[in-house]
Amino acid sequence: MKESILEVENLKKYYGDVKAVDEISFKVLKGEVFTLLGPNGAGKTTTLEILEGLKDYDDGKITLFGEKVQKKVSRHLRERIGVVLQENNFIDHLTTYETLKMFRSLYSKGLDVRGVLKEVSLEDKMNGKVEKLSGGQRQRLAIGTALIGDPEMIFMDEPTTGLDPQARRNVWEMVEQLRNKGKTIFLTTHYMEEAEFLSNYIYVMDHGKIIAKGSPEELISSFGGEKIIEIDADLKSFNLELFKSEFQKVTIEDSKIMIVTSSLPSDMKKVLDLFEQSSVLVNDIIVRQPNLEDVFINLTGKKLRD
Amino acid sequence: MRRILSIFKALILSSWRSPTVIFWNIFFPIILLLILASIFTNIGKGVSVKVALVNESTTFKNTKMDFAEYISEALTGMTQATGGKTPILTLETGVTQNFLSESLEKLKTGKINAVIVIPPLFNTQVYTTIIQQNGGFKLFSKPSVQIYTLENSQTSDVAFTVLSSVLEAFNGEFLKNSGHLADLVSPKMEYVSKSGNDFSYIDFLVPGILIMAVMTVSLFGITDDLLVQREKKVLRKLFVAPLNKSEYFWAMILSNLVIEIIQIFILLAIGFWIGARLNFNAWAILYIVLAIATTLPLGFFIASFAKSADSGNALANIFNFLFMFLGGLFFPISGVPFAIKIVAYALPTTYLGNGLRAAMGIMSSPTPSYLNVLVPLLWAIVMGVYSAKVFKWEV
Repeated sequence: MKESILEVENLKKYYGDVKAVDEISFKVLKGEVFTLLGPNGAGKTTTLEILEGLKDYDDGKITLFGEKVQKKVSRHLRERIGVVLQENNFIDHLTTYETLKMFRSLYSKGLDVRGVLKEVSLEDKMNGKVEKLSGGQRQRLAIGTALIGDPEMIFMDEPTTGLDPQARRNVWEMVEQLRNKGKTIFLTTHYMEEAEFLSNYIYVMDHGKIIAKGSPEELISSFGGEKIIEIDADLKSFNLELFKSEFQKVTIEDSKIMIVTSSLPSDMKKVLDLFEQSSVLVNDIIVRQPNLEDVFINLTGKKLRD
Repeated sequence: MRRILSIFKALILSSWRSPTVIFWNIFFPIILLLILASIFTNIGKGVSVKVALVNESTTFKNTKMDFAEYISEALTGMTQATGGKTPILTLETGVTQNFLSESLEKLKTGKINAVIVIPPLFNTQVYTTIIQQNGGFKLFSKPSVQIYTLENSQTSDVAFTVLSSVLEAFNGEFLKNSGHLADLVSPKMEYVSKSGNDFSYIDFLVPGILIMAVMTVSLFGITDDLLVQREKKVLRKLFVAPLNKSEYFWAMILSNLVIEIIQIFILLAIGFWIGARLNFNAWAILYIVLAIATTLPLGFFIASFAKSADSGNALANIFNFLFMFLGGLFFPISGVPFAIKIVAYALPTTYLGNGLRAAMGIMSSPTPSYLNVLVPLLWAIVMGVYSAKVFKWEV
C-alpha cells in the first residue's frame, strides 16, 4: 500500500451562491499522477488554488504531507511543493537564468539552476529575456520554476492548454520523467487524451462535485459492454425527436449523433430504418469502443471542452 | 530577508532594463527641469550683471590724480552695448554712505549682483604708493577697493570676475607707465548672505522637481508593481513559491526607494550644473525622506482602489498632475484663485515644497513648519493604513 501524500475531506469553498467546490474528498498517493478532469468552471482551479496556498477554504479538512492545513497552505508546506499555473508570467526584462535563480532563492533548499535549465531544455535560452520566450518555452520555464525547489509534489493546472501539439508532447514527456523519478503529480485538465495518457487515477469533477473516479481503464469499463454508434449526417431536415424517443442514451451536436448501445445489432437496425424512412444524406456511420470523452458525456450530458 | 533581497534585485533589474521606467523616472524630470528653467530664466543667454559703484573718494577730486574716476569711467564704458549684444554691465553709481547701505540691501535680495566700494582716501593711497615706490614715506596703507558679492550666487561670482578684470586692467596701466612691480590696487572681497523673499526661479524650481520626481516613481512604481504584476499573474506565480506577501511588499518599497535615491542624486547634479542654490542639510534630507514616505503610501492607495492596471495608471496620472500643479511644485500658488488655493492647501506636496524650500534657504515658508511636517505625515498614515486594510492581493 502506497503512502498517501495528500488527503482532502469534504472540502468546501463557496462564493456567495456559487458552490465552486462542494464538499469533495479525495486522496493522492505518493508517486502517482492524479488528475482532476472536468470542463471549464467545474471547480478544478479553485481546488488547486486552495491546495497551492493561494486561497483559503470554507470548510473541510486538508492533510498535506501528514500535516493538517489550517486556513491556508503555509510557507513551510509550499517549500515542499512545486506549482505550474494555468497562465505563467514572469517579471519582465529578466533573463531565463535570472528568473530561475530568483525562484531558487525563494526556497531554502533546491536544485542547481543550470541543471534545471538543462532538464527543461532551456539552456540555449538562458540569457534570453523571459518576455521573448514562445508559449512552449514559457511553459517549460514554468515547469523549471516548479522543479527548482526540488519538491515532493507538483501541481499542474491545465499545463498544456494553448500549446501546439509538439509542445504538448514535450510537456507530457516531462510529466512522465517526473513520475519516473518518484514525484507525485497533481494535474488538472480538460483534455481527455491527456488524462488518459498520463494519469494513474482520475477524479471527474463537475459543478464543484466529484461525479466519478477511477483509473482510466476503470472509468471506461464502467460502460460494461456498451459500444458507441457515431453518425455523421446532414441533419437539417431531419426530425431529431425520433432519435431521442427511440434511444435512451443519445447526444446530438451539429451534424453528429452519438448513441450508446448495449445491443448493437438491434440498435443499428433501428438507425438504418430511421434513415431509410427519411431522405437524409448520411456521410458516415461508425461503431467504436467508448473513451473517456464518452464517459464524461455519459455522466454530464455535455462535452468536456464546452 | 534573503527572499526580500532577491525579489528586490529582480525588481530593480527589471526597472533598470525597462526603457519606459528609465525615461519617466530619470530623463523626464531632467527634461522638465531644463525646459522650465530655460523658459523662465535666461540661462544660455549672454550674462549681464548689475553692479552698484559707491565712490566715496574725496581727495584729488577733478584732478589728474583722480584715480577713482578712472575706475568709474572704465565701468561706465562696460555698460555700453557693442555690436547688438547685451551690455556686460548695468551700473548704478552713488557717493554717499546711504547709497552704500541701500545697495547692500539690494544685493541681499538679489536685485543687484555686486557692490564695489572705492574708499575715501583711495586717490591719496594710490598717489603715496607711487611715491613710496620712488623712495617716499610709508604714510598710507596700500590702496584697495572693496567688492561685496552674494554668497552662493553664480551671477554674483560673474560680477566679481568682471570687476576684478577692470582692476587688473587698471593695475596693468600703472605697471606700464611707472614700472611698478606689484599690483597697485587689490580687490578686497566680501560676501553678503541672501535675505528676504527674492529668489531665482531655478532655486524655486529644483526642490519642486525633486518632489515631483520622487512622486512620479512612487505613484507609477507602486501601481505597476502591484496592479500590473497582479493582472499579469506574476504575483500569483511568486506566491505559490515560498514567498509571503509582506516580503514582496517590502522588496517593492525598497526597489522604488533605491530608484528615488538615484534619481535625487542625478537631479541634484543637474541642479548644481545649471546653477541652482543647493543648500543641502539635514532638514532638507528630512523633507526628501518625508516626500518619499508620503508618496509611497499614495501609490499604494491608488493601487488599492483601482480595479485594473489601466485604471490604476490613469489614476496615478490624475493624482500626479493634481499634486504637481496644484501643489505648487513648479509655480508659486500665491497668485491662484481662492478656490484652487483651498485645494492646494489640502495637498501634501504644497507643504513638502514649502518645507523643502525653507530648509534649503531659498524662501521662507508661507505655511508654519510644523504643518509642513504634519500634513504630509497625516496623508502618509491615513493612506498607508487605509490601503493596508483595503488592498486586495487577490492573486
